Amino acid sequence: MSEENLLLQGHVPHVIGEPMIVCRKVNKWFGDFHALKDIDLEVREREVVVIIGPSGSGKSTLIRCINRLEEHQEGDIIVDGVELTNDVTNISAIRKETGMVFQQFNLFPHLTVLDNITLAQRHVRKRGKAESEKIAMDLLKRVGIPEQAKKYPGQLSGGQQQRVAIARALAMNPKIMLFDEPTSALDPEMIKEVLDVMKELARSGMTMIVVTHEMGFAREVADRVIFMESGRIVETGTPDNFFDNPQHDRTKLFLSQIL
Amino acid sequence: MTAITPRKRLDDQFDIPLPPFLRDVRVIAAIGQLIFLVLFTGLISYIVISVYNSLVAQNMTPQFAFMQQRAGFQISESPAWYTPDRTFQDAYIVGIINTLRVVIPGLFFATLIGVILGIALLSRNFMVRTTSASYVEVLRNTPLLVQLIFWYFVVMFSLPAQDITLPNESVFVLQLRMVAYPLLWIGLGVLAWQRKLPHHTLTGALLGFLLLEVTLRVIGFTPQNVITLGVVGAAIVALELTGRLPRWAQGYALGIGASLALQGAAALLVEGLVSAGVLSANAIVWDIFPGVIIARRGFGFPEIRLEDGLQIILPQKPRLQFTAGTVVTPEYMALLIGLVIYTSAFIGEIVRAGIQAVPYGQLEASRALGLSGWQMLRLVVLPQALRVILPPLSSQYLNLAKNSTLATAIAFADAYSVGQTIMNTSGQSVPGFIIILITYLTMSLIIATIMNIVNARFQLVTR
Repeated sequence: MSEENLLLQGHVPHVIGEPMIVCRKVNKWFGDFHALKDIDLEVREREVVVIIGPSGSGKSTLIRCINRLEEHQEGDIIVDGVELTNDVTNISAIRKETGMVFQQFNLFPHLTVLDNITLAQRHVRKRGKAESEKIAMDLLKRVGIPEQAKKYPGQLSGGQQQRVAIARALAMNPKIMLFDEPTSALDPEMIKEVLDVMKELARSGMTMIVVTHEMGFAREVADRVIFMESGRIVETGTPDNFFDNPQHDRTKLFLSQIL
Repeated sequence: MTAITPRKRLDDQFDIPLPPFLRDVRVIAAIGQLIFLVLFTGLISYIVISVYNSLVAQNMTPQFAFMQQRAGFQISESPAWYTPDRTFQDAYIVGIINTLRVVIPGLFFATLIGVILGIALLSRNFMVRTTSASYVEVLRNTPLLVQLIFWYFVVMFSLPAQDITLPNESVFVLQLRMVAYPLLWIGLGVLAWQRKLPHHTLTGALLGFLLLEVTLRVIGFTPQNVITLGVVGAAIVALELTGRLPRWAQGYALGIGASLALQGAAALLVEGLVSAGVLSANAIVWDIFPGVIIARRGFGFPEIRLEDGLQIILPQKPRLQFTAGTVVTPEYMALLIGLVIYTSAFIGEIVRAGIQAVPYGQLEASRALGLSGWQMLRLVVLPQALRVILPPLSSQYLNLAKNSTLATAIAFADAYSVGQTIMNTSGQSVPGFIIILITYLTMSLIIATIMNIVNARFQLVTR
């Protein structure tokens, strides 16, 4: 496909760099349940990868393995050149480089919005109070809610909370952002404000893996779409190929049901 | 059915017809409350008046002036200013001081142990979790009175009551023995972490510590016993290293053996130093109750007498010489330890429940941000757990304060115990009880008020 065609469809491919996340033959079991089966995946710098698939297909489990919220039992996961093992040094090094946004926001309800964003900066990145607050305010401006800094999470709408959660993750200067169904718990009119922040982030060159059901977002922003089913990667392709010309029957069925 | 009453306009907004007076729910509720109030005050006044009249008839008119009379009794545990020539009021103040001496440190230590216990109950380490769960179950499910009597008559009375000469070197000997354990644990921990030893070794070493300390308490703390057990330990280590143990025992055996052997070696070293004349023979004091801090007093070979049970001698160092510190009676220690241990079991359960009430997503968010386990607990989990913990914690604080009246069972002179003596001596039981009730009510209300203020500060802001 020529560059001209892509531009016509509003899709601007990101300038993709070196491999950032490498998964080789990753397997994971929950008891007897085989949650991830021989996952091979490479995500490069500045690449935006969207993972879709039916519920229980292992999408969330995969990205939760990448920052070790879940432990994989077989295979290699290498994030920014650091291999994920039981070594706490490696685990904390990887967590410092990966930000994560959850479906349920998981803001700290006992802290103000500002303190939510400065907490990890101060205790993990060891930044001073003034510096971390400046970074927090800049990020709140970037996600469009600087006026909410002194409020508590319980006083914000879902969309605002999710934008704070994105700011909180960005404050750690991650090289990779993982999004676990970031809009699934939101009211329809709030989905757009969160997606807009994510689009801006993608344009700025962040490496992102996004688990979502927002097909419009996938088509517009993703460099690559991955379809997972019962723990396997079934199909992977550029958004245009994936949505307009799916290869596997299971992908076709899934797309016909949701589009 | 009565006729519909004509509508009356009450104000600009409402236009509700008024029911007949006696069918108005608000009137019925008010009348009900009035009847209750009259019956209740009537009953109370009747009781108060009849008690008063019967006391007057027995020539025991209730009054509070008797508190200014001479008390005439000794209090076993009192400040230097109190003598039997002081008034009942002074005696009672001594009681209140004694109660506060138990309640204030009691609340502090019960909270401290309770919080640690609550965290331990959720530990991923099997040993830690099981031990703390047994602690809670045993203490929660036996009566406090029985526990207090156990601490007093069984534990305190089994402490060494004889004179012990503690020369300078004894401090060194005690430390040698006690320092050997943590050194062993750190060493084994490093080796296990480097995967040079099975990880059961560390658990084994902890088991060995318990086994050795309990065994020595049973068979007696003599250097010979420690050395004998050390030889047994060395044999166990040899068996493991030559691969003659079944798979399930490996690691555990090594840890137990190493603990015993190390203590044996320490004993051998001390014995050697004694026979070489480096230490004097009476320097070896094997059985010192944990928690007793011992310091030398004066120069040369001074003596510290351990009298009736337990003395805590805090080291103080004015210029060149140490002097002895506070003396604590066994009654006080038994009551304080009993209340702290008993209450901490309940607080532990409350803390555990509070931590578990924090949603799992909070832990995941903390980990994803790179917070360490300790940071997560301190910055995210405990502040949120606190708002669940505080209301039931207040009840436990009140329980501890009120349970301190069980002091009377082990003859500790707290406010209730002194109050009882005052009532018996003066014959003024009704005023006496009123004073005691007001004392405990005031103390409880102060605790409750402080806890309510703290509680209000930790509630979440949601709108």
